Amino acid sequence: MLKPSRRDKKRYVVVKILGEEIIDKEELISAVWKESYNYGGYVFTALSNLNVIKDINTPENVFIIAINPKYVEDLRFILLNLRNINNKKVIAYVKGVGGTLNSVKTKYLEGDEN
Amino acid sequence: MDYRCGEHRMRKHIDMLINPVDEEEAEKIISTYINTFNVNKIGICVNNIRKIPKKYYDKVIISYVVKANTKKELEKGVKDAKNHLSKFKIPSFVILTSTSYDVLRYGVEKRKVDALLDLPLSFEMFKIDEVLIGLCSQNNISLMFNFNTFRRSDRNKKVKYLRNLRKILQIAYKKNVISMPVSGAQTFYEICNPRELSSFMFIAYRNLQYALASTSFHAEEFWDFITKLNDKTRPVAGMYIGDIDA
Repeated sequence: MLKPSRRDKKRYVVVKILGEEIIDKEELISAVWKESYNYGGYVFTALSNLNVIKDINTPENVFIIAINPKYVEDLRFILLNLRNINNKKVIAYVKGVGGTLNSVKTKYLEGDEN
Repeated sequence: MDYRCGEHRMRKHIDMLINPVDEEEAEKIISTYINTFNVNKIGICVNNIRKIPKKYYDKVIISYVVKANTKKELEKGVKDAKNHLSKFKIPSFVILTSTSYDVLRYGVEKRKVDALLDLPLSFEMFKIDEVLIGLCSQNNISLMFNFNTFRRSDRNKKVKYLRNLRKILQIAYKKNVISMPVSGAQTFYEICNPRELSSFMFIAYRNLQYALASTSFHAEEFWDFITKLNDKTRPVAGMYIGDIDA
């Protein structure tokens, strides 16, 4: 078990998707990884530690993505290019960014649930 | 250009060009910008539109895109633009796209237009003219970069666009030329959150403050400039205000 100072740093990005159909987390993961391969190749996707968090309940079409803090702007560009998930037309944008899951939930998710 | 650290993060980001195909699409796009993205200032291209609802008059300025490869086409295009734009009672400006360097130079020197669109595609790879961009700063002409032309093009064109964009932004930064990314959305599913558009500039230039300022500071400066140009109550240079006692 690594010390906290030696673990990989993360930023949690709340992503909302506008579209007529509901999208699964697995569909989003495959679409985002495909776009990141197009953008930066396999080296970028490996170093950025891109991951969609599955264990949290979020409203429909709202997801939380964890990423290395150096690559948050690159993730924004990847989401800007993401227009098609499994032949469903979508618009993806970032609602907010935070350093911990709790801060991100309180700021960006609790308003939507209510 | 000094952008105070943190101040641009509090400002709203602006999208200065959408190019809707219909009036229905225009209504959908404007309402999502106002309601979901919380944007109060939008620029709309009216090449394909004849009406804009009155409730949006405060939040909108309009533009006309002229595509010209010869001087005659440019002159004709600018006339058509001014005829079409005069029917709306909203501040307006004219944008030029061209693949010919002579036409761009003519348009900039004689100040026929207010902005240039997609300059990276007008030059060959690595052959960018600094003189043209210097003239843009003298004549208050701004540069716009359309994200949807980039997204829809081939890989080779994307590489050309990004490489030339990087060089153009370096020169524009030195010469204080306003440069902004725009979405150029034709339908609802092509719109972009303006904060994400600034990442398009970050990818090319790798300076986060400049990228954020391009959609906030620069866009607001351009907005104020266009509204002042179109304000007919402003006095023209050389005109006396008030009575002159003989």
